[in-house]
Amino acid sequence: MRIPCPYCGPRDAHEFTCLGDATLTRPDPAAPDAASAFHDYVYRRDNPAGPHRELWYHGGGCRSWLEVTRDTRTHAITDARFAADRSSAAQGTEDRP
Amino acid sequence: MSDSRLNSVRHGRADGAAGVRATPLHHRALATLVAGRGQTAALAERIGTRFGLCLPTTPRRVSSGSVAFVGVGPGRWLAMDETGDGLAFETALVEAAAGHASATDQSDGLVLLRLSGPDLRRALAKGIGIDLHPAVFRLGDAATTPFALIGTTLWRIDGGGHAHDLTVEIAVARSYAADFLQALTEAAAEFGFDLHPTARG
Amino acid sequence: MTAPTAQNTGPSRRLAKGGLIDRSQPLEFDFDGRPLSGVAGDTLASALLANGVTLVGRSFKYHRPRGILTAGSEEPNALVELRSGARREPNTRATMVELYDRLSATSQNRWPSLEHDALSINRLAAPLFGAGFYYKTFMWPAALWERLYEPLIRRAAGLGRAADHEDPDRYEKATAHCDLLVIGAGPAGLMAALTAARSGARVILADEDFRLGGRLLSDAPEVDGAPAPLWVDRVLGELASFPDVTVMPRTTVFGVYDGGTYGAVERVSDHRAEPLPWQPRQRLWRIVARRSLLAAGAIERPIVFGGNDRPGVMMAGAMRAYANRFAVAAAREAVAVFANNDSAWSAARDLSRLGVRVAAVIDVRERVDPALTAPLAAAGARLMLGSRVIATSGKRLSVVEVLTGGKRETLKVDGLAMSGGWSPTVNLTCHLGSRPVWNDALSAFLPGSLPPGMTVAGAANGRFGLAACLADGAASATAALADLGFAVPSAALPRADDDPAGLIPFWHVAESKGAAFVDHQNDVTAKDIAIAHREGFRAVEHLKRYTTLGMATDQGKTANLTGLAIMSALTGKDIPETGTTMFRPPYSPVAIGAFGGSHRGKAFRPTRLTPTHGWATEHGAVFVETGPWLRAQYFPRPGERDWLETVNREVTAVRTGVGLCDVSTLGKIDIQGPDAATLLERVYINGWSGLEVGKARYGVMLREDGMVMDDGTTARLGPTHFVMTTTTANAVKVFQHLEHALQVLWPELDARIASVSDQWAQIAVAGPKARETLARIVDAPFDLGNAAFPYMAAAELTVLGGLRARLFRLSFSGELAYEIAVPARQGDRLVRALMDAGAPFGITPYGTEALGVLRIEKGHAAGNELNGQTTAHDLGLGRMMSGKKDFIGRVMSNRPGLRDPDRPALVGLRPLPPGARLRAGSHLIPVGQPTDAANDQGYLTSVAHSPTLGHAIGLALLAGGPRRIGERLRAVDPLRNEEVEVEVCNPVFVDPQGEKLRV
Repeated sequence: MRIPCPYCGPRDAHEFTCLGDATLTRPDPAAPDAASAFHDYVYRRDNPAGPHRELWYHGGGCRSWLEVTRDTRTHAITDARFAADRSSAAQGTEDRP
Repeated sequence: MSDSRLNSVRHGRADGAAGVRATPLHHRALATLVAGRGQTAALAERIGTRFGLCLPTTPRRVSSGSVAFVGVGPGRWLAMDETGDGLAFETALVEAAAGHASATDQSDGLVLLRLSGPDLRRALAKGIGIDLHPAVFRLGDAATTPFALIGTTLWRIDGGGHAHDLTVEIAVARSYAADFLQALTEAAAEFGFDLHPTARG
Repeated sequence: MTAPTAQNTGPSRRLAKGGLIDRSQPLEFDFDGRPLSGVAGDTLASALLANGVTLVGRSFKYHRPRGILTAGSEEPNALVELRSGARREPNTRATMVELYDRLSATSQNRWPSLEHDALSINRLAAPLFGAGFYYKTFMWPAALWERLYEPLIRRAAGLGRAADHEDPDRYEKATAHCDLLVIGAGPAGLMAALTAARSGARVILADEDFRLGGRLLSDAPEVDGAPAPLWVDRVLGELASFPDVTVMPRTTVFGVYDGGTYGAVERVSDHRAEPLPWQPRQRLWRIVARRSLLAAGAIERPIVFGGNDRPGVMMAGAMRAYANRFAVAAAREAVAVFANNDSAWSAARDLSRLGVRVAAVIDVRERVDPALTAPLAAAGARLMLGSRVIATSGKRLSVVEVLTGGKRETLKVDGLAMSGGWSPTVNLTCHLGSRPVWNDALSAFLPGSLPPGMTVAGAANGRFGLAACLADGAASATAALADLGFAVPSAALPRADDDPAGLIPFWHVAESKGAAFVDHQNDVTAKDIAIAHREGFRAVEHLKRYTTLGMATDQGKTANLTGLAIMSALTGKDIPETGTTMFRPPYSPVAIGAFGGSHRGKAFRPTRLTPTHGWATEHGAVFVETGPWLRAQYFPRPGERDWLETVNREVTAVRTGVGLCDVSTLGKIDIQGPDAATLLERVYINGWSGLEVGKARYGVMLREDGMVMDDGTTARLGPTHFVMTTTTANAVKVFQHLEHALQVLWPELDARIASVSDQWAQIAVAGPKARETLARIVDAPFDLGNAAFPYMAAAELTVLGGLRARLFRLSFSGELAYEIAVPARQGDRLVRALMDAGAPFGITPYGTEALGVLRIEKGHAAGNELNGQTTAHDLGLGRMMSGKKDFIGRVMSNRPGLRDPDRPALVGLRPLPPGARLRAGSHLIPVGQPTDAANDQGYLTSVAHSPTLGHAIGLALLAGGPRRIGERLRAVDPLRNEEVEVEVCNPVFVDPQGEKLRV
């Protein structure tokens, strides 16, 4: 499998490590339901057949954490972007360099 | 280069000219430069002013005089100075960055080699997965990628030969350097591999 | 070695002229010890045939004599052991082995000899080995299985023997990139490669054969009015003129992977007795191709009839190839041809033209184009239309029995060419999960949906005619390249004719007498398929597993479709309804060594060396692998009896004088920026904002699930500058964890991290004399005094007259201790200077063993305790957890189950009998209770002999932990059948008040 790293270009999957679901957000630790929210965050995973957003770390290259959209049925990768962009956009802070 | 070839050490195929040549570059100041969050533009302006170059935002090497910057990741560069001392270069970078980035001396952390020769691309293909075809990996292009499972950063420089000849400089973590050289020697043996003594640069 | 088999040869069957062989280059070889000779250009199979060797092996289950069935990689029968000694390789296909001088091959699966095989008695026991025999055998009494049946079956059934020694050859792995990968160098592939090359694309043309051309070599047609090999040579010559075209003979593209990646194995040296200097035996290629063109041709399928496995029965196309390409007549006297299609008539015509007597052509069809039949009739062959072969006889084929016009007739022939039609080689199109689709008109499976970027051309795509293949190759390449934006110059196609390819589907002669084989390699007969059908194993995947149809080295290349067709006839469903088997990589067997490449033995994974490696080597260090690092384990001195004596000396030196140890392997991460302290607050369980500049602090990191991930000390070098250390094992993992925190969890933080693990050589100087030692290398006016530089102080300074250094007053050993860091290239200088400086105090280098003993004496948790299942509380570090902030793992670490006071927690153990030994991994059982899982209360994680205390000590994770101090337990080691009574104690065995490290 090859992953189109937005910094390095397409690279073999050997250069990356996969962490899994990229749609999860670390829960608010101060919320009253933090214990159950963290339980879900750490352990509960969907297993979709189809496009799936995943976190991949390009440890063999630019060391970016990427959010990769991969079809779990075909391994077709339709998008790969910096996870930092996604996160900071969501939180309204400025983009990464 | 031609001077140092006199007492180089040949590995592998002994007849004919070496297909691959390697020269360790021991005397270069190296540092990692990491931009602060969202401060790349400001940093680029300061580095540009101080060193007279345009800080690359892609995996490229950009140089001016004795100083060069190689893009190794978003907001991250391997900076080098052919004339400097590590700590002095780190200090110069810190001053130039003026808070928009942090600099860390890596002059001892990395071993640098210059690799060239007509069979270099074939030898590197035995350890590196990326495409080093001269039409794809052009002069000034850089890449961070493993060679034989060992992390490296390499960039293409003008070796002065034919436009299609590949000459690169490659940086390897010091603790891996012996193993890297062993793997490179094995990969290059069939072409004849000349390991040159140290050169300045 | 077996006795020479005198019968298994005959006069040369080499034709007087012709063939793509070099008669001026004779090659000597031996088979089963008999000297034979061939010529350059031969395969082992063609050379054996030329020498009249038609019996080359015994079959897998029934030990039936077998010959050569095919001329390609689909060969199921002619498997031989190649070479000898450490290079012996089993199950090589004689049809794929390129002959070289002094080649040595041995037949397999026969005893005592190929000619007289004792176990061919298995044929009489055929019911034992019929479909499902493994499963049925397992149903017999279990006691008999292991002692009787398994050894019997193992001896009776099987393939060749692997070498007993380490493989002496090298293997390599490499990556190649191209615009177009052309798989197969027959007419379609050559035309495609040429078209692509002329457009300026980067092209790789790979073919499993050592000579390129495919059927252009075996069928001997004309192209552009001249013999096809001339055209092939011209194309190859032109391809060689393009710098970006790589032609790879002897290279099998064996797998298709995601993202346009293809696996290929190049047999660099298999055509030599030994690889040339500096050359690997094989090279495994990962080919990254923007587009690929599969031009893998087609495989001829057998007809299933009685005795269709007898030596002398061969595929018609193979017999044609041996005659045209290798100038070998597959039979001495006469051949018969048995077919359902036109291509076999072309084969018969070629054989007849080359002087092989064709006695009869038997076709199941009632009518065949007179243009095909007339030349053979003219050459004296009997035309037996509407007929079929029902049996064969002879150890080597001598008689064929034919059912013709309602009567049985026998023909005396020593060769029988059969053809059931052609199956496009669609295997690679299925590797990403798609299935081929049935085509009724061609009676064949054609490629279904294709892997992204792949197109299929020529016979692999069901275009069997030569002119059609050439046109398809050019058109497919043009389309693929246009897609990539290349301007493809148009060029005239070479002139060629399309062979007639008429066919009616025909699979199995129902009137067969004797065993009729579907899968020659696995000895699966038509009857086995009937048994599978009768017993309900009708789905194609069940059929495969029940009968072993399509398994083993050939993966059913000649067998799958006929098996399916016979099942389809039995069920009354059509073939697409019955199914198709999936093809998975590899297309043909690949040596495991090729997948390993150069990464074996010491090069299995990269090795890291410490900055003092050379110095340690000089000092006689014994090294040990710790993760990727090679570290000094201990430094034996002359006269020391064993490692324990050495380690005891090293530990005692640290406790009473001074020792030094290279700790550069610890991960070192430079953390800078306005949010550096905030980052530390979020990844460590304890507080950091209050840490003064010039101080270090011990920190513990959790995973988000609340388990301890790593520990280490981090020093503050400036208001916004920290340097973190991690354990050696977790250096890479922690860096990734910090990047995750900064890029994924909190990208708003401005903290900049850089690994400086390789930048600094770091040496621990430990022991009561550590300060006095260091004082002799530190530049003035730096004050090492306890007040100026107390425990946990950190500073940047110079040593040895201006050398940049960092000094940390840290202690892993519990003694007065420092860690001093200098730029890595100065590590060697530093260690020698420290040895000189410490000489008056008897400074002693120590290795990882002594380091381990020192830390166990101090009760420090390390890798054995940081095992991914322990919490900070379990390790006695719970009080470090800050209640004033959030950090990774905080919420989950407070789960009730993780705060259970009965969880296993860290304690010390000492043996009650003085002098008793403790064993790591021993389980802790209450005294007086039985040794069983219900009483298992924990286990010893780390043990050592403490020279300081003079007895064994241990750390353990014990249920209830510290509140059980003083209790007695049994430490039981069921593996060694040992046990020792122990007392639970404080895990800090030495200086529990920590006074020594603060002096």
